Amino acid sequence: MTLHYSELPARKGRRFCFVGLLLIGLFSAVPVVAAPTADHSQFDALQVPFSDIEQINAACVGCHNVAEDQLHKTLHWQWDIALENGEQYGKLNVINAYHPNIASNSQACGSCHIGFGLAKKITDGIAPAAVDCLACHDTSGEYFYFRFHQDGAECAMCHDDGADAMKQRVKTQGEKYTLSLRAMAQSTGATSTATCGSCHFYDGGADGAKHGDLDSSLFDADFAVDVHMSADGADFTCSSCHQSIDHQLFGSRYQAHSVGDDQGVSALTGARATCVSCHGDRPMQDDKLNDHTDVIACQTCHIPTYARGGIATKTKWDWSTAGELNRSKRPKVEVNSAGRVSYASQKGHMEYGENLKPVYRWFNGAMVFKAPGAEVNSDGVTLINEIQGSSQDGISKIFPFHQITSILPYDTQSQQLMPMNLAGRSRDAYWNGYNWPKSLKAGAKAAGIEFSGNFDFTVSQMSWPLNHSVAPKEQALSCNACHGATSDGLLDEVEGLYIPGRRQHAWLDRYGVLALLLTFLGVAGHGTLRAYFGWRRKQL
Amino acid sequence: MTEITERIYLFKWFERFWHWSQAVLIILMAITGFEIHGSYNLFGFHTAIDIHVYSAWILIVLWVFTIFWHLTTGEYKHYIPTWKGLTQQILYYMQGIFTGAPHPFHASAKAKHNPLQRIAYLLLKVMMIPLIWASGLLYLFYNDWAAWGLVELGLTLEQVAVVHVLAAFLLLLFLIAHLYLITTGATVLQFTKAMITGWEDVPVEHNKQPRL
Repeated sequence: MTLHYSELPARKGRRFCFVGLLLIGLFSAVPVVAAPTADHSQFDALQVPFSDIEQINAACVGCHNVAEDQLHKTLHWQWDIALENGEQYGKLNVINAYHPNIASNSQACGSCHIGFGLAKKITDGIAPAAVDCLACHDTSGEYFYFRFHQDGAECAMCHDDGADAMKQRVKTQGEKYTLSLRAMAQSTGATSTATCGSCHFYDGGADGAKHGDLDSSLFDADFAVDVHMSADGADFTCSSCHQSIDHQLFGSRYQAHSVGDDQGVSALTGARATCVSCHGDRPMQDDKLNDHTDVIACQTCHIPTYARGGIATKTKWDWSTAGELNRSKRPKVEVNSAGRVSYASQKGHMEYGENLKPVYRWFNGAMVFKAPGAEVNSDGVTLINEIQGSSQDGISKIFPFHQITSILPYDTQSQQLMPMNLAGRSRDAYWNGYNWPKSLKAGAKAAGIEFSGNFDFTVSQMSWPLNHSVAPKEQALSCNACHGATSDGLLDEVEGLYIPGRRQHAWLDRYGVLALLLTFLGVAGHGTLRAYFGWRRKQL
Repeated sequence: MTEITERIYLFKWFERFWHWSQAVLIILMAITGFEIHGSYNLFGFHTAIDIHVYSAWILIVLWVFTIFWHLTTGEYKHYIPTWKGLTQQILYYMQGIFTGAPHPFHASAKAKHNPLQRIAYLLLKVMMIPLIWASGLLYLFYNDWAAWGLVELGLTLEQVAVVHVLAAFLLLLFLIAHLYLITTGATVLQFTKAMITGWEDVPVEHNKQPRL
C-alpha cells in the first residue's frame, strides 16, 4: 500500500507547519509498506492438511499466544461496549431496524462473529473461546466463503433471496472457491478491505443493505465513489483509518469522535478514524469555506450523495407483510426491475435507493440506542436510535445521515417493540414456521420480556451517520446547495441555524422594502410637485 | 433674473475620487449584498460573495485614506452640525422650492454643505457606515469570534446579519434621498457637475466677501 500524502490538499495559513510536520510524522510512524518478517508458508504448523476452519485457529495461537486474550477484550468479540456515560451498547444490547435483535437469534448472528459460532444464550455476554483468525487475516479472498457456507450460516442473514442466486450460480458455473484451507492458512497477512467487507459490506441482508456508505463497490472503488479507498486516490484499506491497538479498532459508531474532533493527532499515536486527524480543521484553499467547519462536518459537503457505487441500500423494510407463501406453501421471492429482492416471505417488502441525498441533523457524536422491548411512540415514528446534539451545545456539527424506515412488530398491550425469533431449527423461528405469535413469544422469552400475545406493527426509523464514500472535491456541495435565492435549500429543515441567503427574516425585508418604497414615493411626489410649480411659474 | 455668479473650486480631486469610487463600491456591494441576502440570483452566490468581500476591502483602504485626509486637511469641519440656517433649509424644501424662492444656502469654500446636508452626511459617516462596517467585519471574521470572546457574550451570526441588512436598507434610503436631492440645484445637474469637475457656480451677492 502506498500513501500519496503529497496529494493531500495543501494547507494554507497559520497551521501549515503544524500539519506538515504532523503528516510527515504520521506517515513515518506508521509503516505503510510493511514487508513481513515471517513467511507463513514455511511454518511447520501450517503444513498439515486442515479439515475444518477451527483447526487453523489452533495452529495460529500456537505462536500468537496472546492474540486471543487481546481479541476477547474487543468490541469485535464482545459485541458489548461500556460508554463513558454509563450506557452499555454494542449489538448484544441494542436493536437495529434490519434484523433487530440478537437474543434468540444468536446462532444465526454468529456467522459474523469472529469466533466459531455463538452459544444459544449470549444475553449475559460472549464467553472467551477460540477466535477465527482468518476471518480478518485471510489474504486469499476465499476464506469467507468457507466460513459462512461450510459453517452453516443462515442464508437469509446475508441474502435477501435466501441465497437462491448463489445456488444458481454454483449450479451453472461450478464451485468457485477451491483453494485449500492449508493454502489460505499459509497466506495469512494483514487485514484488508476484503476481509472487513466480507461482514461489514453485506450486513442488513444484502450487499450495501445497511450502511448506505459501505458496500462491495469499495473492494475496487472508483475514485468517484471513494477518494480514500480507490487505488486512484489514497488507496486506503479500512485499517488505514480504523487502526488498532492490541486488536481493538478505532472508529466505532458507538463512539463517534468524528464530530467533535477538531485537532490533528500526535504522530506517536497513529491515525484516528476522523477526517481532521489527517486533514486538520481548515484544509480548504478558500478560507470562507474553512469558516464553515465550526458547525458543518466535513462529511456534510464531501458526501453529497451516498450509495453511489451502483449498489443500492435499503430505505424501507416492511416486516408486517412477511409470511406470504406461494401456492405450494413454500416461501417466495419477488424481484424488482433492478434485480433486487422487493419481497421475500422471510422478510416482507423491501425498498432500495441509490445516489441518495442524506438527511442532515445536528450531531454531537452521541447516539442514544434502544434495547429490545423499547417503548413504541404511539404518536408517530418510533426512533430506533436518537441523534444527539443541537445548535446550542457548542460542540455539535451538522452531519449527514442515512435513514431507513422499518415496520416492526410490537406488543399492543405493553406498547413495546417485540424481539423476533427469526432463525433456528425450531418451528418458533419465523423463517421456519412463518408464525408471528410463536416467533415473538420465543423472541420475548429469550430477551426476558413479557409478551401479551397481542401484537401489531409500527413504523420505526433508524439513522446511520455517513462517514465513508467521500467524493472527489469537484462533487462536494457548493454554496448554492444551501445559500442564495435559487438554493436547493438543503439545510432548510435543520433547526436553530441561520443560513445567509435563505431570507429567514421576512419582517426585515418587508419593512425594509416598505421604507424604500415610501422614500421613493416621497421624492417622486416632491419632484413632481417641483416640476409642476416650475412649469406653472413659466406659464405666468 | 440673471444672477451674477462666480465659479469656485469646491471639491478637490481626492474628494471627488473618494466620492465616486465610494459610490461605485457601495452600489456594487448593495447589488451583491442583497444577492447574498437571498433577494435574487444574479452573479451566483460564490461570485457575489467574492465581489462583496473584495469591494469591502477596497472601500476600507479608501476610507483609511479618507479619514486621514479629513483630519489632516480639516475637511471634517464641513460635517459639524449647525442650527444656523437649518430651519430655513427645511422650510425651503417644504415650500420655497415650489414657489421659486432663492436657495437659502450657497456653497462656499468655508461651508460646502447646507445645514441639512451636514446632518445627513454626518449621520451617514458616524452611524450608517460604521454600523454596516462593524457588522460586516464581524460577519467576515465570524470564525474568530470564539477567540475574541464574542461567542460567550451571546453574539450570533443571525444578530450580526440582521444588523448588517438593516444598515444596508438605511444606506439605500440614503441613496434614494441623496440621488433626488442632488437634483435640487439651480439646474437639475448643477450639483452633479460640481461633484464631477469640482467647480460650482455660486451667486456672488450671496457671499459676504466675494472673491472676484
